[in-house]
Amino acid sequence: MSNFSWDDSNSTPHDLRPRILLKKWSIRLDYFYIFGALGTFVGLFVEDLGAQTFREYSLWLIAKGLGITGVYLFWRLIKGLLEARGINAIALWAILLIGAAGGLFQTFCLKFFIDLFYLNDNASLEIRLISSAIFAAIWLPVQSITVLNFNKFRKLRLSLQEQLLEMEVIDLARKRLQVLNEEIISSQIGELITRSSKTVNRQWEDAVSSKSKEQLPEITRALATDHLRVLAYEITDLKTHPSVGKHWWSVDERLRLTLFDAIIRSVRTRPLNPEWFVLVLVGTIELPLLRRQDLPIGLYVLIIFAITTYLIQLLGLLLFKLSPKEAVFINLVVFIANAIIPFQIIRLLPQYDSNPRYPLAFAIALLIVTLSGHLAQAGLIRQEDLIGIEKETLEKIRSENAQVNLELARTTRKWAQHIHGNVQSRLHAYALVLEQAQLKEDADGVERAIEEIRRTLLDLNAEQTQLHLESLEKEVTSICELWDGIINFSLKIDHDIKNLIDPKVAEVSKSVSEAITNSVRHGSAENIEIEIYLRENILILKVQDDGLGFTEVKSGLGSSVFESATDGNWNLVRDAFNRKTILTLQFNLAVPRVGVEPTLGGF
Amino acid sequence: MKLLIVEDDSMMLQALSSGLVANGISSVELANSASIAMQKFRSFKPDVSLIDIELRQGPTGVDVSHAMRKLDPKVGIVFLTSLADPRLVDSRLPELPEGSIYLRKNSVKDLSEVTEALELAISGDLKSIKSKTADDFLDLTKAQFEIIRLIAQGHSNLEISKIRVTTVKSTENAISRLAKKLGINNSTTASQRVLLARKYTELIGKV
Repeated sequence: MSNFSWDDSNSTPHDLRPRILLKKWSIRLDYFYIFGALGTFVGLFVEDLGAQTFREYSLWLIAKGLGITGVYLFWRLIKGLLEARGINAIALWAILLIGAAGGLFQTFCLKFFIDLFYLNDNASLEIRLISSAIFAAIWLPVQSITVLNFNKFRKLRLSLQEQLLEMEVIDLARKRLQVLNEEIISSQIGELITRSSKTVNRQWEDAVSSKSKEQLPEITRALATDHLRVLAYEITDLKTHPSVGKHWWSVDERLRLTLFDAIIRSVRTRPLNPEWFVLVLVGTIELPLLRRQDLPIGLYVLIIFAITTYLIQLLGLLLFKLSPKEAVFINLVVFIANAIIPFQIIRLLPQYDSNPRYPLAFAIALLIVTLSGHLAQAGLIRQEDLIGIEKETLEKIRSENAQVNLELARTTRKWAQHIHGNVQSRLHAYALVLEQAQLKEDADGVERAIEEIRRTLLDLNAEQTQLHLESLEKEVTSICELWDGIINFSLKIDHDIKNLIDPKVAEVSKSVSEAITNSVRHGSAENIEIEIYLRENILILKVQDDGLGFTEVKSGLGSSVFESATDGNWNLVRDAFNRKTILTLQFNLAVPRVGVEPTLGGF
Repeated sequence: MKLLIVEDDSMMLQALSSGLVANGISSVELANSASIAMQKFRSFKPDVSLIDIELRQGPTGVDVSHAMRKLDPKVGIVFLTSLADPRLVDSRLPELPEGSIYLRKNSVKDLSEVTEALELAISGDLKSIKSKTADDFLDLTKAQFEIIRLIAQGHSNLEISKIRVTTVKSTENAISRLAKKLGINNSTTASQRVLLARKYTELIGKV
């Protein structure tokens, strides 16, 4: 169904098993029909070899054989038989036997049918033969196609089931990754810090106890640079830890493929097409040609044939959770019904009498046909709904994934920065203080500095910070405040998106930061206006400044920040008249804002 | 001498200020962010500013120094940073302001060096002080500064290509050119990455 492959280098994850089993069970019911045809042949030769009926039967068989083999490719059967193993092979042989038996049974019924219709008539043999052939040519492909549609539907249902299973797998993967994420935050970072803190502490205590206090500033510097640098690098490196990055990619890939598949399938597969009923009705035209009083019987037979087939298929549709075994069973029922129902109907109906209730019966039959057609369509709609629900779930998972990913990236970055910037320079500062105190021979100062260094090193472990995603307003405001005093800014955010929490918020604030940086550095701007508003799920960021224009932006990193944040949906114009540079960026929100409560004006 | 110290780490800030006061600088104001620095600059009107280049997010010390010069073209500027090259923080950083002095934290063994630099920065004509330009720093291109930073941040080649809006192939080529330039030759690309990241931490750190 797709070329996705879960990483097979490790053992197959346990929760993937059902999917693989399901695939193995996906058996072609086409074989059923081929063996049905073979059974019909056998039945014919066993049942009756009389000269006159034999010629007629031969024509029937030729028509039926052409109809069937024309629709199904025979090589599939051979290939399938050769490939079948285990449960698959058992199921295949079951189909084969049931098909053959059904075919045999059908032959006997057909013989009775033909006897009833044609052999008691005075019409010439040629006319009856030709009409039989036409009947077979129309009816059999129609039957084949309806069954083919049923198969298509079954396959669609299987693939939906498969997708649902995959969704479960994805869900599991997501949960696992969340756990992993928490583990990384609480355990891996913690472990790294503890380990590093222990080493640093031990070295520091060794240095202190060896009483070479003149060397302490130097040792402190060395600890800060060597150990903390390594620690910061290790933490940064967690982001690309194989157990995280790889899984995120594959999950993401998987999501995209599943979604794509679901859409393609919903468009391409049209199971239970009511149009085929029309063809069945057309098939009845040949009967009036044959003999007038047969018309009502012929109509009854054909319409009830069609209805039975479709009702059984609808049953399959409503029993949505069919297993391959059940599908085989239903096909068997279809076959028996095909054979028995006309047999019963013909026996019960008053033969050769013109039926006064014919128009009424015809109307009722048409009504039933139309109704079942509509029911079939309803089934189709239901499938589309199902795909729609899946799509929503996928979107939800995707945005959650994005958030978890974002958190992970933030945590690692934050920690790395914290260790690298904060703790490191603190130690450097203490090293300087210590040095000063030693120079001045200030014993108290030396002790205080030593104590501070010791505490910093011990406290490394306690430096836990809490993660949280900020709202749009908070994020953007905090970015702007960083530049307060260097540039004057005015910030306008639409009321109903001020509290927006979305993975895109990070992109927006990154772009705001970039835009301000560009205005200050390259445009020598003094005033900057930032406006953020929403237009149908598209977040628009407009930045105007009174500088010279972003002269360098097209070649610098700025453009790539905007490019990757907006997928290319940004532009920059210079309003020479008002001496303004206007930068506009458009962001597609990761989470569609369908559930937004309308806000009252003026609030 | 009126001194404004801009340093994002509060402890470092305290340590520096007490050290410099002990070294005879009378009037010292402290700022731990760019916005506070600009606020204090307006009210305190210092003769000289001692600025760290890395100020976490947002504006860098270089941006702050330019903004200060806009308000007072004569103010003395001394950078005290751990960076071997300011562009390691942001490849598109503007040139350092005229007459500024660049000190690296790890090469300062004694606070008197800092005091001397501060005195020199306000000693007279700004033009007489030769401030460092791109030629005095690392011989790397903008793209190379950016790539080495992204590698050190743990990005994969694919991610780097996405961030820089280029192809993976050209990123790979750029990385190998960069490695060659920095004298990192290694048969396997994986350890080359580690070496590049280490080199970066060396350049921005105090090794």
